[in-house]
Amino acid sequence: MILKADQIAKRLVPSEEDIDPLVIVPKPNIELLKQAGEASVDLRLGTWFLTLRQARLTHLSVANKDASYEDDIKFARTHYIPFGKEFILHPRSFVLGVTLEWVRMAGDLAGYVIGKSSWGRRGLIIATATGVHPGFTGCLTLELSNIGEIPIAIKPGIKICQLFIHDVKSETKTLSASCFVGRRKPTLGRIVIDELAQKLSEELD
Amino acid sequence: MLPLQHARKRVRSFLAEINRLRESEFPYEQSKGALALIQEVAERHLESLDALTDENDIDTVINECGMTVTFLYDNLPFLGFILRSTNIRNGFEVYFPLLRLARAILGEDTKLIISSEWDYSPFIYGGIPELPGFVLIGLPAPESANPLLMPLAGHELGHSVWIKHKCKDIFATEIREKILSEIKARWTEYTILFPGDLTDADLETDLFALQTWAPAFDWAINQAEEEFCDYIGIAIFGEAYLHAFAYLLAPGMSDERPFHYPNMRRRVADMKEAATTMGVATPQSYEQCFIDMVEPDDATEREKKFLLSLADTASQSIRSQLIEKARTLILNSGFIPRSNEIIKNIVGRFELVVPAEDTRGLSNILNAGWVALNDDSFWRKTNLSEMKDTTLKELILKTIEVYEIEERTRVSR
Repeated sequence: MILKADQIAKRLVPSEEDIDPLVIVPKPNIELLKQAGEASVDLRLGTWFLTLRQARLTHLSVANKDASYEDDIKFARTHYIPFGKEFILHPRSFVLGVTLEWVRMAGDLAGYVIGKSSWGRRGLIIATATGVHPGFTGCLTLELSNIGEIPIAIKPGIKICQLFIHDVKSETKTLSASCFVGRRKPTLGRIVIDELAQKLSEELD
Repeated sequence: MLPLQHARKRVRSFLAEINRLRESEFPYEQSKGALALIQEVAERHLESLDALTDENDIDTVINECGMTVTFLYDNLPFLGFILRSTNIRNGFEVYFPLLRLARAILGEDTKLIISSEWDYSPFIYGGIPELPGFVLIGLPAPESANPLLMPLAGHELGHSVWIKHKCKDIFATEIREKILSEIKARWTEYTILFPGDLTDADLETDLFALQTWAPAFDWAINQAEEEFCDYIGIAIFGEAYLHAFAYLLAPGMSDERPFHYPNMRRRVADMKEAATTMGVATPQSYEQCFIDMVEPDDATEREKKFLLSLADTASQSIRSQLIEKARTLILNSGFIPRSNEIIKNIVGRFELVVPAEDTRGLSNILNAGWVALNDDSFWRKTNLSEMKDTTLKELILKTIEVYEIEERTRVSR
């Protein structure tokens, strides 16, 4: 069941005994959230961005068993845009951003990040229903793309996306330990080539 | 005239470099502002050079060219510093909270640049003629995004406090008198090392005699300043300063000791005394973490050793006053001292792997970070324990950013 804003607000004010709370920092305005009729909570744009170093890249190879997170980092450039400054997202360009909020998803909750329609109508596409798994904790990496015709100026602190949260049936309460966890900057992450994919990627004589 | 042509070209190259640097991604305006100030001075030098012709007196030309060389020589390192301040290896979240802290202590017109430097020892540039009001703090590049070492910036700010409050003038007389009384008490030793037809009455008037003990006086003043800066660091950051100091410097180097610092074990013992005076707990077995550096050789460097012992004795004699001066200056600056209750709350949040809110200052956040780092049981029950160092630094930097957001929105909340 998807949590309505007042339910999210309730979960954001946990009792002191709650050892596995839902946390969003900086905390949204709880009173406004309680009154909101939506079924999501708005998240803001953070200060860190990641772009690919196109001049160094011939292509991104994902079907390479040696591809690692570190390799990806070699081809990415980090940008810091302080509060008050703008990042100009040009038409057909793609950048990774990050939410200003650090989100800790409780073990019995999961979520989806969806763009805000007000941005979408102006050509700014934010993520493609990024999943936020139970036990995740960190800032959420956002995939930002300008599919419009006009450059868009985005500023840290603006409301950029919305987080839908729903409950999950689960017995476990461990935090996730993926490479996306516990980060304040956008993360490319690792494309895991499992055994089956590896075997299928090999050419036969 | 060749020197004049060269001088003009040199300044133009310098200005071209500034123009390239202006295209950097500046994380805060004060780096850019510093660049603009240096540019203005460089342009004035170029105007002066352009105003000269072959008809000018050769001495005038040489003098003007010489001044521009000095300007370029002095200011090029600052361009490098400003460039490195824009590097994304820096923990930019720390900047505004540290600027607020600097302004609370040094005055509202303080301007700050923090950079990641290729020097393992943190350092400060202050009192730069071209950059009035600027304090430039350099932190070692591999640690520049490590918020746990930010308390060492407290030491560097201490140098500006020392200058602002004219501490050298305050303590110089006492240091001088202590050195003179020590020489008189060790008169035979002194006259063997510095033979001459001197009496102790000549010590303060005879030019030769003055020169014999002048290095001891300079070293003692420098030692007093460095110790004062440690005490400022402790007054601002408490335990976190002691931890950061040990992280970067313990056990110490095996080289000959620098004379403008007390030797390491005394320095640490003095820091411990300052900590006790200020109600700061010294980590267990703290002094045992450090070793002394090599003293001058008894046989071949007897004069140096004698002078250094004078400096050590003189700076040590004002230790309590230095501690008190640092304590009261920070107390009277309106700086809000750290709170054990808030630190505990922050640690509690870190245990949940979330940044903290309502932290009320850098000192609380950094102390909480050190508590969590030093607690071996921290996160042991979670699957994050292997990523503890990285995750903790991320949490601390995010908490610092949240603190900055709270400060910016405090009035409107």
